[in-house]
Amino acid sequence: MRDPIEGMIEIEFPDEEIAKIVYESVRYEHESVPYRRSRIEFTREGRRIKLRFTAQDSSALRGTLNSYLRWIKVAIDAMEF
Amino acid sequence: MIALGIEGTAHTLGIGIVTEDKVLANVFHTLTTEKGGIHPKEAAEHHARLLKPLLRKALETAGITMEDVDIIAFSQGPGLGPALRVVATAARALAIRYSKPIVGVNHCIAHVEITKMFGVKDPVGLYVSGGNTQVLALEGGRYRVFGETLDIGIGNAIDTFARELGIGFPGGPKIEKLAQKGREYIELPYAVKGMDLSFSGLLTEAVRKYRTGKYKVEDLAYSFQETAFAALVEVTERAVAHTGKEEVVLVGGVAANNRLREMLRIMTEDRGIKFFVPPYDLCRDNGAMIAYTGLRMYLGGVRFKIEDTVVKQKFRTDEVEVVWE
Repeated sequence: MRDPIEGMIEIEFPDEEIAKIVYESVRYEHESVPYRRSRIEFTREGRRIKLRFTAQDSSALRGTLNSYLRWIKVAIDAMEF
Repeated sequence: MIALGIEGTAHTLGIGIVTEDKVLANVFHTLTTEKGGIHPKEAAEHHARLLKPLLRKALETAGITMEDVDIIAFSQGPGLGPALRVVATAARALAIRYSKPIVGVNHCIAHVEITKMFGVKDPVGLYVSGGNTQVLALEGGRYRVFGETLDIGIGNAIDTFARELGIGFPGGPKIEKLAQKGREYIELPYAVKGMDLSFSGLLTEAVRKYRTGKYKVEDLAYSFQETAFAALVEVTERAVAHTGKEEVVLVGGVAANNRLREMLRIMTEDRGIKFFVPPYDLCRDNGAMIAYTGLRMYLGGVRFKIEDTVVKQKFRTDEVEVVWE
């Protein structure tokens, strides 16, 4: 078996309040997502949201990351009114 | 009170803004593909891309800002997981950012509930769309499903048949037009099992007959509609007889079909009961029905914590306790 792919994405928000709203909006998806070939740790530290990931293959990684980034984008978009 | 609702169970993203008795905005965009069918991830991507422009359009149409909105409602299920998750995330972000209460709505129930904006009181609903085919009515504090498809939705059956005939997607309006020119009824399998329906046998046989080249497509389209719709009307009528209700509503995308409307009108007139079809924009998947149902739920005392907003892909109609009536 190949070594898993590992990495981290860190997103910095202008302030902690925005990071908190994004985190709280996405958190329930994160907690209910069925993991199979990839795993993501989703955390917030101050105004930073961190995605630490491990995947068996790049297509699994791409699929999972796309979902998380899509949720984060939607949460940001919803705040701009 | 003003409610903003987001619909996104399948290929349509809809944003609706309503009060207790009025639709202030009802905007939507539907993901279309050349041959029909939806890839769940593509639907999710579509909804994520269009959320912001549609939200803006809805608020502009209603002439309000987010501050004026009192509650946020969203389609919690049933539907495509990735699409539902986008909508739920957006609804949570709106609710948290603007400090508004949030309500998760069952999509099937919302299709029937919106008819109450038009004075309908306690109907038997025939909900017909691509993915869903149900006869539902309120009984004992829940919407009970009196009959439903055991395999594919009627809209899906029609679209698949249309695709087989090579007339494109969505097939409903095209099949209806062809059917109007049909003269000869060709026998096709009529499947009502107990109170449930089945359309896959009908579809297979219609396709088989088409491929023999012995039948006119107009006659096949006509016979397909007559057979499928007769089964829908039969189950609806039996639910009416069982419940004793005096109103029938036709909702969902397939409600656009004039022949189905006509057959239900005849049945309800014969029984001396009322028949109602909402305007098409409120029949198809739309945000206004979600907003309106969410508002009724909220006014009836339903409260959601943010952790209650996890999506339910297989959200059953009868899971919801209707405490708001």
